[in-house]
Amino acid sequence: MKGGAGNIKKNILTAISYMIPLVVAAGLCMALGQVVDSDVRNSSAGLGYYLYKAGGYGMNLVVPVITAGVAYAVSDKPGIAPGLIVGFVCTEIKAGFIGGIVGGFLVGYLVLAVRKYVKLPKSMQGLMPVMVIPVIVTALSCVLMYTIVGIPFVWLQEALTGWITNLQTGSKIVFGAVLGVMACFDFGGPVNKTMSTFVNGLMIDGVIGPESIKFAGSMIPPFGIAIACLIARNKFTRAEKEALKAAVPMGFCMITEGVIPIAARDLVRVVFSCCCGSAVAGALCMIWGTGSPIPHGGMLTVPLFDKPLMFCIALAIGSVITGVILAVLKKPVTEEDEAYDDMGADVLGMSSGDGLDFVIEKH
Amino acid sequence: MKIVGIAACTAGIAHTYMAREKLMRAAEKLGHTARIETQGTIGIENELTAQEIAEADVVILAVDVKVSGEGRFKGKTVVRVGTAAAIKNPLELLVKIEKAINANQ
Amino acid sequence: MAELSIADIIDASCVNLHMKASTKDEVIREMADMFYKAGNISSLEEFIQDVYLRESEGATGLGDRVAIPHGKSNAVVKTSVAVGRCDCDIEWETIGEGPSRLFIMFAVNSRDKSKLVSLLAEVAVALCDEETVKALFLCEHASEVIALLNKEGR
Repeated sequence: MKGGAGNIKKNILTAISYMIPLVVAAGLCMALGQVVDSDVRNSSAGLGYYLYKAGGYGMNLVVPVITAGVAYAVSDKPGIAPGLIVGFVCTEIKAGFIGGIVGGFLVGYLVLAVRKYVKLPKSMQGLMPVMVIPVIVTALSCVLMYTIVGIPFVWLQEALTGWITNLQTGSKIVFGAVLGVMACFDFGGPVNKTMSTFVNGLMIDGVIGPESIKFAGSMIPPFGIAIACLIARNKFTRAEKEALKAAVPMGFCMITEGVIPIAARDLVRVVFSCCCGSAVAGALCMIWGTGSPIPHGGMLTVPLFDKPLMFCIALAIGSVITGVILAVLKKPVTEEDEAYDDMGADVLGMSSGDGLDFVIEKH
Repeated sequence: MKIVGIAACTAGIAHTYMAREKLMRAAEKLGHTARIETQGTIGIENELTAQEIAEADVVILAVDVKVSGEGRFKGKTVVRVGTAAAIKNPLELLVKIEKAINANQ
Repeated sequence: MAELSIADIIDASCVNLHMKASTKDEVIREMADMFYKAGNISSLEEFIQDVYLRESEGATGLGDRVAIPHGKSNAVVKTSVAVGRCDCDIEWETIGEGPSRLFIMFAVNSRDKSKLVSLLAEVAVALCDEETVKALFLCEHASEVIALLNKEGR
């Protein structure tokens, strides 16, 4: 997944892929700590306290891991050490998630520059990776972060979190609806990933409301389509009903991609109805103040939300809206439609178990 | 059987070409004819012609990565397998594939 | 341009039929070192890292005690092959199972699309021949190794 110097998006996604398990582990530990010990903030020992503390330390590592992740993706191993340090600086000066990403690129490109322009005699080359690169890059980028680079992000971060926490009801509805639409628009594609990056950043900076909208938007398509299928069975092909059997459990785990085969046959209607349901659910989440301290996990993590019940209601309302709209909009299946599903590769047979696994398809 | 196929591995340096060679040798031993295209680091070699594909009884894709030009096999029976299986035991693999295809017809 | 042959990608200095290595890591390092000393790669660490990257993508052991570790790396100056043989078995991830003892390591520059890369493919193809592999276990001179790998291609 490493993108090297040129591929900005890939580098950020690499870093996020390193960050997600950290946030899930740390967030769940904190949340579990609170479940075990309801007064955990005033405790000083016990299982709840240990989990809560450990999770808290984990959360402090999130930005350093992002920064180090980006730096690593850009410049390989030498980027990790300075990246961790610069990421910590970002946390300290409150430059947040975005500052951390920019810090990662700063470190990454500095490593590449030092490797290219600093020439040492051959006898001292061994010092490059362990001393010269980390020290020069750390020193330079930390000073830059404190003095110049970090400042706009500190400002941006304050403005952003301030704006979201102080939204009026009307703006909350719009904001929630837009995020809801983005979350489900392309079923886990680039729009979803953009939205996801944005709300993950907010969550790390302590604004956890939008994160719950991501959950809703990711789960509404499979649930909503399933409801539509229950209402209007004759409007789904055999293959689509099969696909739903996999898509719904995937939806429980917050994996939206299972509905893509169903959306593909009837893109406009499916996307439209999913967006409607998701927009409503997003707006409700914002108004009711639901929040997720964890970036992934689907229904399994919902009990640890802020206001889990309200979230479930928002999710249910959104899914029903999607289901009803889709059931109304969709056209009954014709024989031609059934044939459409047979156009793709049909799996005829499979063989496995002896290391000579293969799949036979009819194209 | 008339076999056509593609071999491609992740790095496109060695396994691609070994898979091709092993499949060709095994096919010859079993009395099949085989034409295998490689999609390696140097690009496509031994590219399959439309006629070869049209005449083939089966398409074997010994691939670990996505290959280009799968659209050429419309209407064909396609067997998808990893390069590892083709290198490890190509004879047995071809025998099994032949059986499976006959069973499916 | 003169016709290239396998000899253009294997140098006798990159053949060691009695390697000291006793672990996978030592094998990779010892062979990378041959490339480095021959001037075929510019950075040991970078190349080794790329070899491990390929290792992580799937087994390079072929069975019959032969493995073909390879690195597609920016650190490669000249696309080439090294051959190493150990006197004892080395634990190695293999298609199927079993350790390895004979190692054919490929070094390719990530941007190289030249005829040299096709020669590597020819070496790989030569390894498909059981007789060739058997002979590779028995030979004692670098020149024999090169001749064996050469014979198949042309």
